[in-house]
Amino acid sequence: MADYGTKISPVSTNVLSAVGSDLVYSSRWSNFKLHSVITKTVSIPDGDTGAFDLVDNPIPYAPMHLPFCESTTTIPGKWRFGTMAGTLFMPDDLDWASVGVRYRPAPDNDFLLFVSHFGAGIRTFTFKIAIFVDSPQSAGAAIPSVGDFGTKTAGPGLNVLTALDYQLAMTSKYQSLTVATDTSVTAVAPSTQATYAHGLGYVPIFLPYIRVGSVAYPIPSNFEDHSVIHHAEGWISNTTLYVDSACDGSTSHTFDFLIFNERLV
Amino acid sequence: MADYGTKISSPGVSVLTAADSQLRLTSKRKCLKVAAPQQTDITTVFGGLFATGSGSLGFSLAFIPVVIPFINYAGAIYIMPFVNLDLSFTQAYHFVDSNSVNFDVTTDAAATVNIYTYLSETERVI
Repeated sequence: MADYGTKISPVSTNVLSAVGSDLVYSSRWSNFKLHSVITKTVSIPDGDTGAFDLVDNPIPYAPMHLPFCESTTTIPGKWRFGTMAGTLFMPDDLDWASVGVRYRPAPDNDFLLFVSHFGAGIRTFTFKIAIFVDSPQSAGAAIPSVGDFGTKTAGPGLNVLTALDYQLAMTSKYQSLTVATDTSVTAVAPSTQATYAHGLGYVPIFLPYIRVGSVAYPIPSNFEDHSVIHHAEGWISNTTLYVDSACDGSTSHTFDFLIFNERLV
Repeated sequence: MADYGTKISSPGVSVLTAADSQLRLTSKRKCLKVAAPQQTDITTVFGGLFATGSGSLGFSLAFIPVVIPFINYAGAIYIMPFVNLDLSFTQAYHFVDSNSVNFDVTTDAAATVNIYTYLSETERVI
């Protein structure tokens, strides 16, 4: 990278010679800046198989967001990514049919939360959406500021004095998303499941993937292996990451994942 | 943490006494660093029952990076992968190989969708 800007390396790593992947921070790239984690429960009435509800977006534009959902009634304490993408069940709750999160732009500026479940009785699901100041559309707007103080860094070509929050590489106004663990676990055939003890003591934000050959599929998602479409799932508690390839168990599968220090619950 | 390195706290929190979890940034914790989101437009073609399309976003890295794509379809934004909530055919998937992010999109009718992708040039999946 060009030799200007702000770079921070970890202890014992020379910041002058470190490559980007070694750095803790670099103003060449942006951090995801965590605004808040919003919560909404959706209950499916007895006799019904689905329900939806709305929750307001706390910032005035389309935000970068990571949605998660817990089946609070049937498997409390386990959080999965808030999109379903093609499966018909969760490995430990075969009645869980689908879940989805849709951002609706202004004038709605909210999230539509949907879940379906084939069980009996009233079933409550809890959604949590990590909202970031960043915008995937690069079309953010000003957020009410806490004032013109703190630490801010802007990328090359951007005036740090006038940049809006979403344009900044980093600002002390918001927590940056930071990596606690980036590693992998393998479900050794015939098992399709594997676990990882993250040790954080709370439910963290996470991103799981399944590796097929040298290709990474995000999960939950469908993936093709040996010409068969499978569906992989991942969910996390305050102690453990769980993954499941939902395959026939004839092949071992490796799951890669990032667990972040930032708390979901 | 030991009392060295770089630490930045938020207003009202003493950087000298803050726990790691209270710090906005600390050299003890590595940030997920991402480039500005890139837009990929995909036009789906109707095939009799539904419309399909695909696209990709190339990169040149020595590893398979973290990517987080969003799709803008019919006036709403979904993080990918996704299947529409209204029981239509609409869905969008992606996977990442050694040199590209690959997108597959299915819609009910021919359409052009926008995909916005965050890609990290520094943090890896594999």
